[in-house]
Amino acid sequence: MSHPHPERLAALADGEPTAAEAAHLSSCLTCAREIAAHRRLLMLAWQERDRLSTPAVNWETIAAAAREEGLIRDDRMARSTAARSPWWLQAAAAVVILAGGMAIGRMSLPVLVGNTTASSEPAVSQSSAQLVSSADTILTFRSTAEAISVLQRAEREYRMAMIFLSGQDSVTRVADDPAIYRARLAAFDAIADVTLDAVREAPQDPVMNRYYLNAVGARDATLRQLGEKLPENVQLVGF
Amino acid sequence: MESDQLLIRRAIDGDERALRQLWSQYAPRIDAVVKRLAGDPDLAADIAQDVWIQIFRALKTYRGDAQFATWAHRIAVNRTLNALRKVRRLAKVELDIEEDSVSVEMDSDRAFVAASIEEAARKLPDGARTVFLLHDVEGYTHEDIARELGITPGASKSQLFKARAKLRRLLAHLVDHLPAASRAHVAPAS
Repeated sequence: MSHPHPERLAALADGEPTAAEAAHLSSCLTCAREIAAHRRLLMLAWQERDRLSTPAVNWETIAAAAREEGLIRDDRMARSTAARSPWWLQAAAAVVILAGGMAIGRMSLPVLVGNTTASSEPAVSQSSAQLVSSADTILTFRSTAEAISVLQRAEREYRMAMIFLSGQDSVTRVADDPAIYRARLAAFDAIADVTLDAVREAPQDPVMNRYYLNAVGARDATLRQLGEKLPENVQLVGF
Repeated sequence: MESDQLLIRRAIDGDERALRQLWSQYAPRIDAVVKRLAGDPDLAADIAQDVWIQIFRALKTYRGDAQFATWAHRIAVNRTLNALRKVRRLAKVELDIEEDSVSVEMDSDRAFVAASIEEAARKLPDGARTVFLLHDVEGYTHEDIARELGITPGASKSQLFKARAKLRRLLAHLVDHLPAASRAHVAPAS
């Protein structure tokens, strides 16, 4: 029998020879050597399987595409449900900001609206329902621009709700009481601390940066207001 | 360490950290397959992005009856082959190889072997190269390959043996290298 074709020898690297081929291979060192070379090639190829490589594309590129596809949830929503993630801190910051903001708003808004009174209690429930409804729709963000637009609308609604709620307020403290401003400053300090921690953890996060800057700005404004409310013989040197 | 199941559940919910963790855990293996099949690094980058989006999109369909790596690997192969079909309409055209297109580090014997195989594989016609990579490297059967490529198992075998025969010549410097003791018993080529 003549030498098998090279492609047949390649097949015999992991295939069964016919009787005639087996007889030839047992006596032909050239063909036996060829098959041995093919088996080494197979071994090398198999070892290739376990060879790992650096990623072909970086995460930022994939994440951007995933966001466009809606496969990555809005950061704020993700943080609120990521139970064991370090983003807890930032979620907590958001809660503190909201709660603090409501408390401060309820205390301070009489200044904004004077003696305006609210219409009726059911209206409060309606406003709350609208807020909940707005929160639910956040899940449908499709772009950053849309998210910012919703955020701006929510801020406007928040301010309006606070104005309305202030009319329901039974707190008896008057706006000129410096204690209000001191309480507000303390709250803003706490908010600024928490949001600053969050910003340090994710310096590129625009939402947390915004909350931090807002808190610092509001604190400065409150500090100025407190200075104006102090008796003339008292000078505010710090807080 | 978080289990794959939990990680996948969070990823399905759109949690970026979970998605990123899946990617960083499996990208070395998945992207290696994409790179091998695509050949060209730039093309591999485009395809890899598409592959990962497809994996993320399909997470909801992952039932856990296979290892996640196996499941994702299959998506990677399917998606890469589809992409290559689009890119290379003329699948039978043999690719030219440019000497400077191999960018694998040569800092070890294994890297050298890997680079040699990669370079040699690029010199194969697309069809033969794909069959070789799927069968001899990735471990697919000829039936699997036939299904993936829309050819017969016999055609897959034929392509494979052509590929092996050519690679054996191209990689002679690797596969003819024998220990001294073995070399003494080898008869000279006729």
